[in-house]
Amino acid sequence: MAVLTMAGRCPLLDLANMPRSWSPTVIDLTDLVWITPFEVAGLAAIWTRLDTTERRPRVELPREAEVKAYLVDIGLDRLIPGPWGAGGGSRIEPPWLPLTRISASEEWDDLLTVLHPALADLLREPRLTQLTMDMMSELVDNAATHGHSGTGTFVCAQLYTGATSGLSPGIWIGIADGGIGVPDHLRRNPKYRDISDDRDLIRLARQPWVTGTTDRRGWGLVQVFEDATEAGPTRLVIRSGRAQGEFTLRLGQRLTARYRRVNPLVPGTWIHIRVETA
Amino acid sequence: MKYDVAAKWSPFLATRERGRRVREEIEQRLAQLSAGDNLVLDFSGVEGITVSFGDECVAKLILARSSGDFADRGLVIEGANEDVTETLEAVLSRRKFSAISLNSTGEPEVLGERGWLPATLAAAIELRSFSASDLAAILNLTPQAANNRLKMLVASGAVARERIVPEGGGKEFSYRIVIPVYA
Repeated sequence: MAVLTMAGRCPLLDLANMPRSWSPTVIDLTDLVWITPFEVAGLAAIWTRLDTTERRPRVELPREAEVKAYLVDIGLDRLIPGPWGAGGGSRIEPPWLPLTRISASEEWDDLLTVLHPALADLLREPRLTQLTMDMMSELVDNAATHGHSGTGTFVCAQLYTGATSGLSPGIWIGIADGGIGVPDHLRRNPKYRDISDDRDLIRLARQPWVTGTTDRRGWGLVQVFEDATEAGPTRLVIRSGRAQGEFTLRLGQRLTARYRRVNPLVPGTWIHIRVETA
Repeated sequence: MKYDVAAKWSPFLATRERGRRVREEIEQRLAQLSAGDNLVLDFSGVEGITVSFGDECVAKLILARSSGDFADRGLVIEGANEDVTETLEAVLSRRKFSAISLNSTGEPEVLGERGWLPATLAAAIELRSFSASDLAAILNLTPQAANNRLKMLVASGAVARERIVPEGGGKEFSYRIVIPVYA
């Protein structure tokens, strides 16, 4: 029996906790302590990919009531059936963007008419609002277009003021899809077909004019990095295929990047963004 | 003719797919125009666009014009706020394209790649209706250089190009400024 155990804090974000398979028969959240939007979106993508291929895993819900309440607040109960109870009402600030599934990219355009004013009200900083929405829009568009699959694209976001979480104030965003993934998408372009190391393709993906399409484009991720730098300091993680790129972006400083191998292969692309707003 | 982007779509325009659909509708409107007419893309009420939307919608319209599509009619932008203008600047510059945006007094401003375009635009506004050799004379250029500049000016949407048959036969183009305040 393949079990995906998500225990402790940030269990998916930490590469030390990689499971043996992303196709578990059981997802065990029993000892989960703290979860980020990255984990929520990733978990939603894993569960949905299996559910849509009739391999729905059994999910053991968190033992801790507060954790379970947060998962309800962020909307996992609407996706994953289980004994969630009345749920909700966690002490953590309510998610700014609860778990949302995008099946076609233009659904995001329609959502923006609600999301943009909502974030503007919360942040009260027009430029930061614009940068955040631009980053999310480029990444969701990429996921829903290049990463299009029956799984869809999951996105959620949390704004921490630090009042209840004890974290430094910031915007945390998770985006995950169950599509082809960045490395294999780029390999559709003959120029990159023979690059075997997924880390090299994640590195390439953030360069201008690099695309897996036949079209002359490839500025979306470049723009995300520019926006993240201006909005930040920002930590950005792109995990896809057999690689992960981790980036720290700070205005006036050189970007720091680290590329690592990931095993097992991630079925799709998962993105984590943390913008510090203090 | 005016195309009200926000009224037709929404104040926030993000994805390539939305960009493609808006562009296709704009192309339909352009197709309905007569030679020498212009289409004003009104971005009033649009609060933000992404680079992907801007590239797919506006930059690809300019790309099509540079290949000769709708070159006999004009296309200008108006009502773009600071954020939208900045994004269009970025997408056009990356492709080395230009477009014309009307400021609050209706005066044209070049977005994107500038180079010699503002000076060429000023000369075209002075001439209003002209041939390549007229432009070459006023700017003291070779005919080839004038033709190169005109290609970019036509692509930007400021000038419409129409084929004429001169008295001696052959083929020639006439150019006409199609920015609303000067047309």
